Amino acid sequence: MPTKPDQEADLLKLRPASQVMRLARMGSFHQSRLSFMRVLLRRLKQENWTFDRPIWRIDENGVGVATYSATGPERTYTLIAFAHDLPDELRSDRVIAEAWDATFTLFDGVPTDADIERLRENVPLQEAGRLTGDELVLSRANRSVRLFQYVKDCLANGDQPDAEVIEPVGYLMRTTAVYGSGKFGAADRERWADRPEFAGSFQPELLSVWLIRAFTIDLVEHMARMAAPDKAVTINDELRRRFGVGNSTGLGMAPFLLNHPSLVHAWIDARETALARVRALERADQAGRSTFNDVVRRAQINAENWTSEHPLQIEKVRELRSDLTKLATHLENFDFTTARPWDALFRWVEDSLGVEGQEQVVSLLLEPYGALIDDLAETMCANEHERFRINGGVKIGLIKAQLSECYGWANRIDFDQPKAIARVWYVSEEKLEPRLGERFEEPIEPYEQPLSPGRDARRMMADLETWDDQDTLGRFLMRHPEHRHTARRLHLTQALPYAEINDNTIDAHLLPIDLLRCKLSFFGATRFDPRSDRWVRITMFQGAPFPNELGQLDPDDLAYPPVGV
Amino acid sequence: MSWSLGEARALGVKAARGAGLPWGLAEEVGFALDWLQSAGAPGIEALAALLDAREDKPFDPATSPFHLGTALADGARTVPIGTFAMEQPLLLIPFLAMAKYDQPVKLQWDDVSVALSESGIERDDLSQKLFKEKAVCSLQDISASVMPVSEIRVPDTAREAMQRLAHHAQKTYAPATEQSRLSGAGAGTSDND
Repeated sequence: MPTKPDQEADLLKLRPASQVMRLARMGSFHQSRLSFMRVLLRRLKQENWTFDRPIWRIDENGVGVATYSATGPERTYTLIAFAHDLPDELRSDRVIAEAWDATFTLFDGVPTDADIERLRENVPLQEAGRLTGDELVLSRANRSVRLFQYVKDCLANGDQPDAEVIEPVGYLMRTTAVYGSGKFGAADRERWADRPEFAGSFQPELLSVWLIRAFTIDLVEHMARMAAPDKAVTINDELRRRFGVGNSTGLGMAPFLLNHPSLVHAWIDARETALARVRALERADQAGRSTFNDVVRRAQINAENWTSEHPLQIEKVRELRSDLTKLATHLENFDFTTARPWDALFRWVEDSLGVEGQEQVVSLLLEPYGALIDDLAETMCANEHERFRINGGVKIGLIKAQLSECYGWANRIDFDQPKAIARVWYVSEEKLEPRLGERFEEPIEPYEQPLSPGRDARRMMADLETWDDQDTLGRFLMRHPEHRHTARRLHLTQALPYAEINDNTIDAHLLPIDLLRCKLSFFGATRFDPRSDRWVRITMFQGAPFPNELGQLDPDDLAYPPVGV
Repeated sequence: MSWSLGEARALGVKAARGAGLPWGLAEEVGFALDWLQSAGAPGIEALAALLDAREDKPFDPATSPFHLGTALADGARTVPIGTFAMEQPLLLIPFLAMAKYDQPVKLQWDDVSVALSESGIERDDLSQKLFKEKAVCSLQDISASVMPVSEIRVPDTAREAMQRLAHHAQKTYAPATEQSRLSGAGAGTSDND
């Protein structure tokens, strides 16, 4: 796995974990050049991947099977889509759903008829079915009932749908889970992690979603054609790009950042390094300034179009719009001829804008400098099991010092207060759905998952108080095996500073959507739309090229809404 | 039917937790399972046998492969000299591999002899009877190199044992209640939009 040159760490000053790894800030991240969707499309384009739809066997009710193939320099992958006839009353985005409008798998290669038959028996069952090592991803999607019907009716009538109706929703279907990495029998991540086409994170999953997007368009056009064979039209190219794939995400994703600390460090370290590289530039070239000004404008348009009904998000978007207005005004008179102008600009941003604005600007600063930072995308992966072994020989005195350094923030929290430990992360017996409950209101404490590193670090610190500094971690853990989890995390965070979130994850006021938004921003999601403090809708690939036009369009250019649409 | 190593590992962690081990130690059990299955050894069956035999009784640190194993891997203890009692000795092996790095060693009990190194178990030793509820074991350094196998899936032969692990894992799930269904996941009751 490629890593950054050693000297770089000395030359660049990255923002410290104590500043970056705060939930309020992580919950304000935006997509960027390093987001996985954009990394994927850049690569597919650079490598001239070809795309095909070998099978389309969907009937007049929208039921059947279709396949979408993606062929790169070394391999072919095939998305197999099963379309179903789902009654409205069964439609649910919850983990506990048992039927969906469409179900999918990404096959490693070209499936035979026998493969498709086997998968037809299993994929529509989702968690209740089984995959083999030939499948990489399992997914399902539900229609946006309103928009799907509206678009179908327009097309059947020979009309294009109205962009203003499309825009507030932004998708015909939304995925409610995209599983990879060995789940339900799919291939373990190790089986494909070294393939160059999958360098980075979540590449097979996002390839699947991108192909699903094409399927959603094909399906609505097909349904229109079935309804009115002589009159129906297809969606024009520009309008088609306004459709992304929705995604409905809840608590299932929330523990991810806590359960993958090495990976989180890799992501954040890449982003912070990219920011530092841009800030270190001695001059701002004309092209860079021009691109920056352009994306600031387009980010303003994105913020204008960003709708949500959730009071928290409404407030954040208002803050973002205000921040971007301040930024635009500041730029009118900003002296780009000063030394290290991007650094000067960013220091003004940190002093003058809110967290939303600051993190938006982080993303915007990267846009003009792909040649400088795109290589960091390859570093955004990790093997969580690499730093598994606990070094029992470390002296207690050093452990105490390290705990203080990495978890000192937890010392400011009074974990004896009910408010500080009000929440419990647990898994429900009901279809193994992850949930967040109230410790003092429900009998769920015995089922608590290990998702509170702050409290656990404080517990370990408390038990260490009576131990001699010259004693060893190994002997301590023999007496206190309950601290092994924290000891391992401590080793990790010592080596990887961005591995740990510096906030209390069981606090009464925890907003799980902060965790979700952080991860989803790395995916490349735009238009983050919370439905509660723990459930969110987003759109993926909105604006992006489709497979048949990837060769002619610049996927990075389409990451922000165009000016003048 | 086969399983991915990742889901077997995850199930092992939950089963160990369900059997009463703290999460950090349960994670080590998952590691051991993954290591053994990758090495072509029936770790899932050994774990299921161990947890079934222990059902509801606390682990005995003196004979639990996880307690001795982690102490060895941490470097907190050295390998006992002479013989020592161990439940399901197969489960100790991944920790010996972690503790001894690439120095090959041989774990023996009854008429079973298993050579191992950091990279796995000697393939010829895999065909022996590797389960024993409790055995008297001894460990020796060896000079011969080890020829391991590398498996990438959990075979169907582990099916019954996976179900028994699922039974133990079940204890980590909270019973569903109407309240938890409505408020715990935060979604509404209708997803038609």
